[in-house]
Amino acid sequence: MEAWQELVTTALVGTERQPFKVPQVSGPLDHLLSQLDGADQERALLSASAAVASYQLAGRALDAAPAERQKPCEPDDVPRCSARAAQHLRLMLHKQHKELLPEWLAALAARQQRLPEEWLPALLDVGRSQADLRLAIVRVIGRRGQWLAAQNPTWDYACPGDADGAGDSAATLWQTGKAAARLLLLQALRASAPDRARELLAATWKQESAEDRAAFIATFEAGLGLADEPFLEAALDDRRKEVRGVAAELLARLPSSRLCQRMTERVRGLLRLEKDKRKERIEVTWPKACDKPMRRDGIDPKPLPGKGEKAWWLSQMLGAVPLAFWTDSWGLPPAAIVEASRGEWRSPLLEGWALAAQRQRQSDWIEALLWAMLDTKEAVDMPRLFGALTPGRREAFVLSLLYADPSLESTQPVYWLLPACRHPWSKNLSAVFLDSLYRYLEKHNVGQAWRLKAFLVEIAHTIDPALSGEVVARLAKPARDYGYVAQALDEFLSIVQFRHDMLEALVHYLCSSV
Amino acid sequence: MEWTVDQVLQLAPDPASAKAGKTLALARKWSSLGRTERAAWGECQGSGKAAYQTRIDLNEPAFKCSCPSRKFPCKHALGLFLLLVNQPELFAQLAPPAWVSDWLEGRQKRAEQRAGRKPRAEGVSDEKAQAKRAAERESKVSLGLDDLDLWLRDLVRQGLAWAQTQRPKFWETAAARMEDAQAPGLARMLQELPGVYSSGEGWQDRLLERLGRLHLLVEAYKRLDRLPEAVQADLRSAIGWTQSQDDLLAGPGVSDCWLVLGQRVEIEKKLQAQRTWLWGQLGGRAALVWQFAYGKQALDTSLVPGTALEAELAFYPSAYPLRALVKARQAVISQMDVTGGYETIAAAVEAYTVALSHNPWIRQFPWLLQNVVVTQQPGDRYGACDRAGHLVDLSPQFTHTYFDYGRGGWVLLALSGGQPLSLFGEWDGSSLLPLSAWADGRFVNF
Repeated sequence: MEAWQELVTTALVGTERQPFKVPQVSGPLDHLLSQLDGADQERALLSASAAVASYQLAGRALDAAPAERQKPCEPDDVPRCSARAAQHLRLMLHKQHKELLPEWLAALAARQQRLPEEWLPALLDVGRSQADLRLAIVRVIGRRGQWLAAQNPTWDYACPGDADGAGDSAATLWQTGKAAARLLLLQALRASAPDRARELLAATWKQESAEDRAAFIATFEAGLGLADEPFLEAALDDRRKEVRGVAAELLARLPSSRLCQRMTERVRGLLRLEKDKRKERIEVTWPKACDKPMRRDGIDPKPLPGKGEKAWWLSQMLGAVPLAFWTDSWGLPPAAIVEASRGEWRSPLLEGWALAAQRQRQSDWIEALLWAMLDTKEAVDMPRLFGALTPGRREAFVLSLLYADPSLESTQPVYWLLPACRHPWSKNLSAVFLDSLYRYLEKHNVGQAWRLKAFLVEIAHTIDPALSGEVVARLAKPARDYGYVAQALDEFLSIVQFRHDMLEALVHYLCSSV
Repeated sequence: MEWTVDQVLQLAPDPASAKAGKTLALARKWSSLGRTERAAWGECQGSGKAAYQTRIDLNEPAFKCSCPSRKFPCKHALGLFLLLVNQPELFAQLAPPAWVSDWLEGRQKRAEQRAGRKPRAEGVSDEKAQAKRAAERESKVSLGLDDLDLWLRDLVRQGLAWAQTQRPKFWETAAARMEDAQAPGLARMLQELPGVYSSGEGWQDRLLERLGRLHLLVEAYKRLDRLPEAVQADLRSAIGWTQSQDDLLAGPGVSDCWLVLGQRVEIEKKLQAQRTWLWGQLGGRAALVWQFAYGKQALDTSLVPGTALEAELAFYPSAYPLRALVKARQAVISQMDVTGGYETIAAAVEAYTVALSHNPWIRQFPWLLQNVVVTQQPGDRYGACDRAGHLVDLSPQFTHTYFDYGRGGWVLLALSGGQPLSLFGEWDGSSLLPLSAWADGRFVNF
């Protein structure tokens, strides 16, 4: 409004510098303004401002809505989680027990529920910084979440791509989506239809950037099968080191791959089984060199500090040889072979076999190796080896140790084995562990058990939460009795209780009253 | 009870305050010391020009000091208290001055209300004292407004651009003078002015609007007697006159089933102000319950957004009554259905216009908009569109703030999903500040 602009300009400069004249307006406002005394400049300016400002405020014209608008979202067909569950999410987003978020998201997806709409921005933001949670998040945001993500470039990992028109939605997303979304697509597909994922990737492989190639080929870890072998074999010649490394690693996990066969040939003759006074012994011949074909197959020529060069090569080579080769050639069970490896050069042999056992998931070998390592206290990466067992066999292994000696001293192997059981524990293992724990706490003056805290906190994340009621009851002795460990126990109890509550809250979903 | 030094130091909010309090516990820093059985007071020369007035109610204990410190109790209160404990002979038994007795009476009244007792019958001497105080206040306010008039004229004579170059003291002193003149509403308005300079594009317009509004107040007050009573009430409340709650509660009330639709807390130095909006389901009128808390006092949490309350409200007199008190409450209903309000933006704006024509000093106007779709606008702005094809801007104070749920604008967009929902918020003439939404049968409070 012109009159207003005049007022503002004069007011900015000041009536001292710019004389003020009451502006002319039309309509009823004029009647008011004409009554102002022009002689008293300041008062006139202020009064006019008051009048015109109120006039504008009251008579404000309405803005028109934009003609082009976002297409509305399709309604979701999956129910929302309950308000109580949303409260748990709120706590986790506020950094309380935030490490439990993956478990919560997985449980939500398993129960086929979704997030209430108002929580979508917060969780999509979490996915922005924590890439490992993206797959879990995308499963629970529902159609509304995808619709929302499409409007914010920082959330592009959650977009389904331009899915308008008929055709394979996965292919469309693969062609048109952003890098983050395509990666998630591959991860999801490898779980359900690995061949399809490989097809999609093979089609555009040559055009992908180096970083993308490395990330994409890493997804082959899931759903790995012999059908992937040709693709991976070709990738051994890729320009980027990372891609070659991943390909070699994955091929080493496929016993019938050409890589494993080549490795077997190289190793043939290097190890000989000798019978020596009724005990078997393994004689070792060292490899002569680390040549180009070996490097292509993933052997790293440079040893880690403290290791001998040739021993290093040998253990890597052993890591890619199918373990069946040894049992077939020598006609001995794994335990016997491991026993026969006693001697000066035991370390590289155990390391190599451990690597092979981990890759090939041979439980007999793993257990034999573990027993050997526990007996002789060899310094090998035991937790990783242990983790390669199936959950059932892990528990069996630990339980056998616990039954033999239920004490939880930090010197015992169960002390690191239990936290290495990174799967939801069975009721049985949970109960046996708790018995050990109670006995330990009762027997000991736990003043020295500062290591117990980290131990307990690890276990709190995997123990069966259904036992939480019992745990709380049995450990209800006043804190003073437990001394230094009280803090650890408190944290243990709070984590177990929280897991119990949050999973309980997901049982019932929020019924929409629409 | 007898207080010891240790006990007093225990009251300190942090070690720094305790130390500062100890340095102030010296007789030479204080003047006008006095006490009664239940209270003590004094004036301390601070860093400012005027002395700080500090009072202690020994029963609770409770403190009030005129210094700008946010701590509670402040170092002056601690110092005064320590002085009282160490050197009680310095405090003569005197009749408390107005600034002490006013405070004590206010506390007494609030305590009695809480206990549910009726205030004791006013004797003749009380009436006289009250009338005297009322007259004193009127004259103080009058003088204060004359001051303000001169200040405003000065401001427009030298220009808004000139005022921008002034030091913060320029505004603070003006606001402080209003406080002294017992016009806290005006003081608040003046305190907000320097912020307008940094409020972005169009600050000149907004600043001039506010100055115009202040000028309107000044002019109106000069003609107070000739204005209708309802307008007088609005004028007084804009200035910051508090009305006795007892009188209000004794008067007539409006019964309805009230939806508690939104709540907003604003914090300003030591003062927390909470606005709770109610919307009558049967009568279709809105009500504002406006509460304050000083320092560490807790705000009243008896009104919960998302519930419906069967209650009788008593409205403050006004040309467009909005502010109210809960006179009597019956049942609280936790399930509610958000119906009523405005079906189009045009209807909402019209209601605002009508309200303004009655009371031009309305700051926030309640809008319950039905069937609006939230959209993203260019320039990282958000708007609400109604079915008639109009749009209102949503305040960046909401859309750019991060809540538990995430950034406000995105949360609203997520709730709307391109579909219509009901939105409740405060309209200030240019943008809507959302306080809650009702979508898909669910109430979401921000």
